[in-house]
Amino acid sequence: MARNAPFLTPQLKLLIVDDSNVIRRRIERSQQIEQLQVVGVASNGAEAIEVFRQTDPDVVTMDITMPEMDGIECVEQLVAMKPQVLILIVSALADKATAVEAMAKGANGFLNKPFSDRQLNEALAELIGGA
Amino acid sequence: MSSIDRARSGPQDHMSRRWSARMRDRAATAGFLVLLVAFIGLVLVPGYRLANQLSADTAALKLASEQRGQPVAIAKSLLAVRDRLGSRAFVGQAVKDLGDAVQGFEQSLAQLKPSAAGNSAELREIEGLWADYRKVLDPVAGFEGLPYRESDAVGTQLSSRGRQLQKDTRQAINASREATDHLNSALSAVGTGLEQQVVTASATLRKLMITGVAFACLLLTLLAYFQWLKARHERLAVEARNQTRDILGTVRDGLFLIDADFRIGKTHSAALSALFRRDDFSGMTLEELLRDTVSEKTLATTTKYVQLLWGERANEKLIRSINPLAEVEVHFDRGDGSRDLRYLEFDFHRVKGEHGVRHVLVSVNDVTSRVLLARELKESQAKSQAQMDMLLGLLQVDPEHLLAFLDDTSAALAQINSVLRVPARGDGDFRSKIDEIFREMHRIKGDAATLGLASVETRTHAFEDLLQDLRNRPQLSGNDFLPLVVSLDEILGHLQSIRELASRAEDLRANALLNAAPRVPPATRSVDAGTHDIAPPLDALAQRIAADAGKKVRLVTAGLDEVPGDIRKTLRDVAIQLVRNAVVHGIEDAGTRRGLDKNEIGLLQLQFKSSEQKLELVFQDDGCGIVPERLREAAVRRGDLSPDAAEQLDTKASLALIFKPGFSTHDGNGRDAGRGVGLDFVLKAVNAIGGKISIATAPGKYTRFSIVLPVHCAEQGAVA
Repeated sequence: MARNAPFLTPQLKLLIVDDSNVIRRRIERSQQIEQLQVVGVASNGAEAIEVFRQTDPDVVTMDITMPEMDGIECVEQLVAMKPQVLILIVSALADKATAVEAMAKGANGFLNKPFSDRQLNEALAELIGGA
Repeated sequence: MSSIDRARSGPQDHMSRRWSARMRDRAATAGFLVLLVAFIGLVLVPGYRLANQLSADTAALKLASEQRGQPVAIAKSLLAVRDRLGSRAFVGQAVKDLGDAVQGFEQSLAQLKPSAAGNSAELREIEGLWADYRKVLDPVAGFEGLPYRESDAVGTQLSSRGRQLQKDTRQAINASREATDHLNSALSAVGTGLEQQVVTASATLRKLMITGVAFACLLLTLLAYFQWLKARHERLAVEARNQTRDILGTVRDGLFLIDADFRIGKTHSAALSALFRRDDFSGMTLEELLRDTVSEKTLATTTKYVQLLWGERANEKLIRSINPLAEVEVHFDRGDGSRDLRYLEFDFHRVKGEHGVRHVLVSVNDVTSRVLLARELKESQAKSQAQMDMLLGLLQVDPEHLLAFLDDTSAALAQINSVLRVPARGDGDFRSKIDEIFREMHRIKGDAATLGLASVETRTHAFEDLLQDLRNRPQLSGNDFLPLVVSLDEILGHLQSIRELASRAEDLRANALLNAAPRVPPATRSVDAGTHDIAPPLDALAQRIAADAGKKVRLVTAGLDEVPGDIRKTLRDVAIQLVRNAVVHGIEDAGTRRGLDKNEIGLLQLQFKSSEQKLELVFQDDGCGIVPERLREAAVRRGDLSPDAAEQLDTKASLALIFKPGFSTHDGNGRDAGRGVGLDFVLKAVNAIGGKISIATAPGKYTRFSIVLPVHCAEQGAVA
């Protein structure tokens, strides 16, 4: 099913928000979920809002700790702009209270850094399939 | 995606089965109601009407048959009136009888009218006949008064009214001959018609009755079916309840449901009681359950987390990693004041109904053993890591120094062991034992520090803690020394493992050097082995202690090469203690030194001079110097001297205090801080080889130790 999925299902647009180049590249490179197509990357919250406006993604992976505007505030704004957007927080779990706070703002899932490619793919599949 | 669909098909099948079962029940109920309505509409109501009709018809039939005699009775009454008139007898009674008969017939007709015969042609004929007949009957029946006239001449004669009555009677009798027959036959016809109707109605009623019975049977069957269904449901419900009870009673997880207000449901697993050490959870909220066992912050986060599950946005699987109660440390009162530490794992699952989330299922597990096991594993990993670090550390140490250290230390530990074994008589004996052991252990600690063997340093420091603890006790007995034996054993074991690691390290080194440049083979171990060049390890020690204390120092040495082999070990040990003492007590921290206009790097100088007459080791630091007053205060504080005795001491005697066993101006007990054992050791070591120590100090400027030894001191032997 995975091979011909793009012809059967419309691709979902993915925006990657993370201030780490390494993480951004890893998500770009390792995401093998064929329903997803990376349409933009951003390294902070303010930039994310800008890219979000331009590309209108369906799925967003979001770091919490970033310069300019942090992920929690960004989640809140993105959900206000597009309530049906699917947001996966990808962040180091230093403090569960912060993570829960981000979820309460409207994120759909949480992936703990560091993560394996398999964990990332499973989380993305669960996000778009099980939401 | 497909796996998700498959995963979801199960519950859907189940739901559709439940749906069809519910529809079947509804259809049966609807069928029952339709049947009931039909029974009422088609059987009961018509039956009732028919029965009413039947009873009216029967009454009418009875009436009609009774009326058959009436026309004859009227005719007879007419004849009686005529006869009475003829015999001039009293006619009043006969007329009244006629009137009654007429009246009776009239009423019967009126009663027949609403009956089933009311519309029959026969009755209409009777009514016609009767109307005509009445016209001739009424004058007779309505007669009142006397029909006779009395006269003496002719006796009783008909009066004119009597004659009229006679005429009317005759006319009526004439009419009655025809009317009576007609009326009778018409009444008969009415009766026959009624009879016919009653028979038909009865037949219909019978059919209705049979239909009714059939309906009733059907309804009864349905009722019985419902009853059976109900009983079956109840049986299944009881069975399900029992199974639920068995599951909840047996499952090892604490299971319970919470509603949107976080209130705990009425049913929970038995394990929950064991986990929380309480039986009654009714009416409790999750917060109340957790309040005393987890921190406020965790509780607040938990509340928010569970709220996420009640919302629609968060994906249950994708928020599991941020569950704040995934592993939570809880304390329970044992009841005797002590607390029991457990680790609990909470898991939260949505329970969905037709209209979204209905409950959140909470499962609780006691994961204490798992957590402890993981911790143990981590510790053992850390231990392996430490061993590896130690191995790498040992690779840095000159193998000869290391072997010399191991041999010296083993000997010293044997010495301590023998000291421990010597029987002691009184408190004084115990205390001098402690002092001796302290000195030995302190020297080992110094050596270990010099070689960078942190693991040995830590252990010897812990041993010193035990000794310090003994020193502080008012009374001592032999049993108090048992922990020392245990700890000593542990240090011996540790040294053995270092020896093994050292041999592995040596193998590694040898392998690594196979291809390297040829190396001078290690010198044969001798008494002075390990004391070749004591400057680098001393400097390393000074730097380490200084770094620990946040200070900066520089060690300058001179003439150490000239130290005779036989006293090298002693002088090295002495130098270690002097360096340690100077860095800890003498040198100020960099900030203080800057404030005092001193170079922020403290200067330590160690010089060995030899001449024909004497050997001299001079050690000097440019630290804060020694203030005799401080030493006296410390001695008083420690209880070594009374305030009065302290007052009596001059500067020289005051300075001598620093050589007293256990003396220190420091109260801290860091690894390098004042045990008060260093200088005590120095004095003893120097004395042992026949030397003397002198101190010169200027507060705020310097402290200098001069150790003077006779030229031939080696014969006196080194301290063990």
